[in-house]
Amino acid sequence: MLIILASRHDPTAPWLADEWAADEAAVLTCEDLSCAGWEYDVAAPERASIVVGGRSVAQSAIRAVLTRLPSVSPHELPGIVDEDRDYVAQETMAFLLAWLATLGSRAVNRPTPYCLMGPHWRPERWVKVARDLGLATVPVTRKAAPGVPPARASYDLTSVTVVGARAFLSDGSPPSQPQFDAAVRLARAAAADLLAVQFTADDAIADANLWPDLRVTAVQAALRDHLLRAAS
Amino acid sequence: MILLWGVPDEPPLARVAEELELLGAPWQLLDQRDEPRTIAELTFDHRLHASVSTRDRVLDLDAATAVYHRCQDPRTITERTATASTSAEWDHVLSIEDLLLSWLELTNALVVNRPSDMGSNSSKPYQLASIAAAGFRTPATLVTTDPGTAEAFWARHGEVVYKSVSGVRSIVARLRPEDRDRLADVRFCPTQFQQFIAGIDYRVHVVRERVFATRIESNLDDYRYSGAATPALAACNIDDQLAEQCVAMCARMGLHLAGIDLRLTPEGDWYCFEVNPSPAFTYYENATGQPIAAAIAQLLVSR
Repeated sequence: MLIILASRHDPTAPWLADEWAADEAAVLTCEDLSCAGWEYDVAAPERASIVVGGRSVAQSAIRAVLTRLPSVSPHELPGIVDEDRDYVAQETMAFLLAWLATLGSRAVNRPTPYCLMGPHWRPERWVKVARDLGLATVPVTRKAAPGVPPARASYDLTSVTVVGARAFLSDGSPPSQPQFDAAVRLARAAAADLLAVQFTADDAIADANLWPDLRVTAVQAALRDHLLRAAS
Repeated sequence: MILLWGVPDEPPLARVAEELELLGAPWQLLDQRDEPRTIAELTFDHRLHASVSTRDRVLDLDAATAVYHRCQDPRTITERTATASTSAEWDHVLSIEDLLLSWLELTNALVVNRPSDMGSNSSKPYQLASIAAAGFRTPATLVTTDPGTAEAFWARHGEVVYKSVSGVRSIVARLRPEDRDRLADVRFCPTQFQQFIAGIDYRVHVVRERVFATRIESNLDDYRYSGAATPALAACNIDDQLAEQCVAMCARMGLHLAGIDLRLTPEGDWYCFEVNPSPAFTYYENATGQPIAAAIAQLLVSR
């Protein structure tokens, strides 16, 4: 079974579940964590049991989890009374972090304490890590001043989506070799299996994010392959 | 220059400042209460540059060799609440804090502690896996939304406590027969149950390689919430092997400073419950006279 952990408002998650129906894909939302049936023994995570769409699933039946939820907002929990919603959101976030971490490479991406989707870094950190790898980068400047809206230098950017050892442009075609090499190296340095890397026209890295467009056919197919390989 | 970031009268920050004064070390305070009127800038080109300007000075963060931060939740700072009352002011405060937190991740200065290394404390079961990997005994722990599973765990272990899963502070409490009816409520929220471990509590503060152990005598399940029944705290020694294990665990977690919660059972087994990456060490220092702030100050000047 492939699990897609997503916001209840995320239209891409049910679309992916339909695309991957043959692999028993199902969408897991935070509302599933307000149902009886979750069991996680810290000393025996392989015996965990989860609930997806009202159905109990053993951890051993999960092939991989794609996470499209950075954190748990109270808005994800409409079934919880107002006065408890913030607390339940924090507890659910903490629990999902612990549970996803037990899946190792079967969680794409592996969670970090501040983001369930993986390394949610600020632009300057992506640029610094890229620079440390010897890759071409653009300067990043940030200023915070009272009454002045935050502004960043704007570039005409090309996005390259990394899926494991593969990479794609936004139309699904392969990127240039320099962009491919740089994007895959940056993703590996960040321990991210799924990453969108932003390049300027002269192949300098300007930023990266965890939200590639998964509706691109080639990306969606590569991601499915990657998730199924992660399971084996 | 050593940078302190937080609110100046907050006890741990104030104590470290006092000790830096005694050492004659140059230090600067970044007062969180000034953030509504602060300008901050960060640039990364070939190297990192950052500066902060307040009403009366400009702080060149490139000159910082070490940082100790005790950032408070902005909502808890009274002065700020009074001054940053508009949405735009709050947005600005959050921008300042985001920029400074980013700088803490990237600077070559010694940071006590880097935010990314502190994150494991946001999920107790997540951190417990790291603690077990460091070789410590940990109590049997279950997180569940299933009342029947919780009941079975309780029956298996006889005595069980419940506590928050997240870093939200909660009072650790023993499950009592009168709680049985409330177990049905766990279906609404993942709830953490833990085998009750009988024994004596110890708080071990690690400051890089230095270890300060405090023994805590209390009859309560959570001595931090003792009310009138003040627990008895006493400085003590722990054996070298345990001290080394504590130091090694902190190093593995990337923490230069931590407060480790241990319990020694009557059978002589040590259990570890939690590693606090931003300990309010003054509670223990005031009770025992252990020079924890001095050790932190010495660590900061060592870079």
